[in-house]
Amino acid sequence: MSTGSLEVDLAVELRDIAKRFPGVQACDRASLQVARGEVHAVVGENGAGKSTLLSILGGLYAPDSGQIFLDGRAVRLRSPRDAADHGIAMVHQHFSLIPKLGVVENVLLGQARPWWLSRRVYAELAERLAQLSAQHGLPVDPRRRVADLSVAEQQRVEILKALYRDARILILDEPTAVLSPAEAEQLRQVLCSLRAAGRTLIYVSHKLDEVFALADRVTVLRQGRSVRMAVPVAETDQGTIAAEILGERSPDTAGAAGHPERSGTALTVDSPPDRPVSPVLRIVDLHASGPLGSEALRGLSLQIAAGEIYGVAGVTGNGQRELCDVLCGLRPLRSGSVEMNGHSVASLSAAQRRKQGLASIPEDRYAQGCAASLSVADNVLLTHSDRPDLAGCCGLLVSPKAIRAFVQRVLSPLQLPESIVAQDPPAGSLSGGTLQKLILARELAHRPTLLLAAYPCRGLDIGAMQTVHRLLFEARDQGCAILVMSEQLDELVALCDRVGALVRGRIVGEVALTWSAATPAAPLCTPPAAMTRLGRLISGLAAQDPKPEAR
Amino acid sequence: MLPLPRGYRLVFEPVLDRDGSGRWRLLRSLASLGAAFAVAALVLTAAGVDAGLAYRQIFTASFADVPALSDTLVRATPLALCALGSALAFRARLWNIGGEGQLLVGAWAAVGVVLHGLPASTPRPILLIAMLFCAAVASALWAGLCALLRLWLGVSELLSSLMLNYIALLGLRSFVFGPWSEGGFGLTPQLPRSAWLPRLSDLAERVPACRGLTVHLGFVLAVLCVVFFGLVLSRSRFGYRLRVLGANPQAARAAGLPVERDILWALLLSGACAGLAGFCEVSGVVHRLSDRFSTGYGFTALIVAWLAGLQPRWILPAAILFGGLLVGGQELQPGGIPLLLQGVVLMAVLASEALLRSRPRLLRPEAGSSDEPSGASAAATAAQKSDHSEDLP
Repeated sequence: MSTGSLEVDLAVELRDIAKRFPGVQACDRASLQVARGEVHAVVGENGAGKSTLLSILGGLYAPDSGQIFLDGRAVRLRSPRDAADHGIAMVHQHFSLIPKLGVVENVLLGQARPWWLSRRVYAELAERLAQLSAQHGLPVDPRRRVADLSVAEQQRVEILKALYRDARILILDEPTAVLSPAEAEQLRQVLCSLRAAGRTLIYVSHKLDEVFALADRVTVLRQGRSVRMAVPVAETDQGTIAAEILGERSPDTAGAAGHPERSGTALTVDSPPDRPVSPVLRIVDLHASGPLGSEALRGLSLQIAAGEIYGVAGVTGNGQRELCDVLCGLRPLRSGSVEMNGHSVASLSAAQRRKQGLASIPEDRYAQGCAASLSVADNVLLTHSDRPDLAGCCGLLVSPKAIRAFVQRVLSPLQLPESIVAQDPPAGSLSGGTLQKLILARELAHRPTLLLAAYPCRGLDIGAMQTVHRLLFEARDQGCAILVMSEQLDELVALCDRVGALVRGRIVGEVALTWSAATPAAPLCTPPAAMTRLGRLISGLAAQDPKPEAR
Repeated sequence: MLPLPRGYRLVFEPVLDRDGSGRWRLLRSLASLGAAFAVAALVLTAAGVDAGLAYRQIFTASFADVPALSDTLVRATPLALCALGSALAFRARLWNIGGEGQLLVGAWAAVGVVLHGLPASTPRPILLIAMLFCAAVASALWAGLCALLRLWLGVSELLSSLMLNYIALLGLRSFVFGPWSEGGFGLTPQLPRSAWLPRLSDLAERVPACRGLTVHLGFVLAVLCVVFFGLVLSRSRFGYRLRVLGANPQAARAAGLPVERDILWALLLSGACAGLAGFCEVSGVVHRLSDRFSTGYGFTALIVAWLAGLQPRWILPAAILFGGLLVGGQELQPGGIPLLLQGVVLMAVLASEALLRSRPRLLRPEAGSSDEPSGASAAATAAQKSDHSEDLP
């Protein structure tokens, strides 16, 4: 572990923080040293422990072990309020504002004083907020309702809230993830102004270009540990930091040993494909809005051929959910085109798209993928309820016997325990892995031409993951085009024929792992090279790195 | 708050409704009934009445002999139909509590078609079928208003169906006191005999045992409806979709099920059932329309539906039980007791719903997390350790 200069005046020091959540060691003796009045960036991959570490500083979680020092004194932060009393404020990625209330009410929220809100108090507060926003360049009208504000304005309210409480230490968790480039630039100026006013800023980000434009020093977390601590940005460069973020992944571990056909020697299976090359899915210049009305997809284009697995890599929140919803017909598109098998599907409903051969594995298997209180059989039927072969003798009614046979047929490739088929328990009582296998089997039973799999292995153990991968490979070999989204680069590289990096609603670059005539543009990479390149693309380094590696 | 030892917490953990249609629900309903009778017994005793005697008399008046049973079945008919309608909607988590209003609209339509639509000389079967049809359609449309408000404007059907009850009652009043009034009273003229549902007592000339038995063909209609909708709910695709809609509407949407259409149809059918209840009452019992022919059947039916666990096959027993309470409770003093019983049953059933979905669990204090001194000393030892480690480089 290399350590930066220690003689500076430390505002915050986290020492050897460990925090374990069920099944995952989020922080593994991570440390952080932040000097007073600096902008300190914390970078790392998804799941590197950044958010956890800073939530501990924000008083949201108590660490299992380790210490927190503020201005050199050891403190215990039992709650967010405790942290606020110590002058720490956190601006979350998902804002903690109440949409129905006005800006002033939101700023007052959780404040003990004033206990009586007269008109005069409101006027004074609005005045004070106006003053603060003028001082730091945070234009917000204090009289408006939060629900009527744009995302960027809501973020300004969060920052104003922190300033109103006179927070000395501001933690910003991925502040630019929800902002357009122009808004991000505005935010950068605000943060510079705050630094000039002597406040300490801790800035979490995936985007190295932003970090290098703004931060004084940077700490890199990897797998819950601080691998580089408090490096002045002037003394390093983006390439070094990007390498630190990814660590040294050997080709063997990167290539996911579970899949013999895609080990480190992927390039040897480079035979010319005898697969058809007409695209099953063609998306051109797709624009769509996100949940808060902001533009989540900004000109996304991609193509997937039959018998191809296409991966979408990227940090969650860059448009993954919107892309899924638009493809499934659950969200309208603003402009651009989506074609399945050569026909536009923009005007089709979710049910009509399914009839055209679309199947999907939703991101949240409990909220969208199943009805937890209904039985396994009912959940298998979820997307099959109008199959004609389930009808009983009267035509109108369905036959329980036919349903049982159908459910058994769908579940048979999974080799589930007998009891699940026999007792037909509620789907919610299955383990996450079993449920995911069930959903996948259900969707594949449609024999889809296009399968959408959002985070198909999230939270699964190795066994379930391998079954999911096996089923996806089988579907691909039968000619299904598959779109997989995942946060795990190694999983995507092991699974996909091609991977695109989704950043701020666009595919900013692609790598190919197998040769395909459909996509001559994407550079062909070995799995480790693909991981490095994707990691850079995701971190916003695409501009610095135009040449494909390991051709 | 329960008095618990320090550090202990009582939490309700959500569990899946393991045996949704099975014996837990039955047990729960029986326990709710027991609780209701126990509470009512306390009130009766406090009022100086022998509760045991009171309950015996209720039973005698409602179930003890054939004429009493017949009266009970008459009361059970609209209860069963309305409860069926409610259960149909509740299965899909559509809170149609406008059964009373839909019943009134059904009765209004059934009487309207006799007074203004068809001549009195129409043959009986045709007239009855026309009445039945008009009642069902009118009530379905009345309930359909709730569906449209919900689908177009996002208005909760709970509020709209409740409010439509009052609109229906006031609208009915304006008819029975206005254009349809007989001599300015709140009554329409009596319907012609051809618009009466046949009763068992109509057979008295041939079968003397049937003399005075008021039970009418509407009860058969109710049984047929219960069987029909029971099959629809358990065995049809539509019933399956309603179940999914009730369990997880988001999953239904994601799976491409026609959620909007199903909501509309569920409410239409729910209203139609209540409309049939209105038809049965005017054609089978009162034979004319007044503004107070229904003694809140639509509301009592909500309790019947919950007591039956929203299962069609339990709706008939529950409706007959409540019909008996209505018949037997008429004589009971203090007069509020039947209402009290209904209220406690509903409270108990709804409260036990929470118990079906969660399991109480007592949490012990976590070791070492809540007590102050040991945490501080741990921090101190950790501080010592780190002092040493700083010496290392």
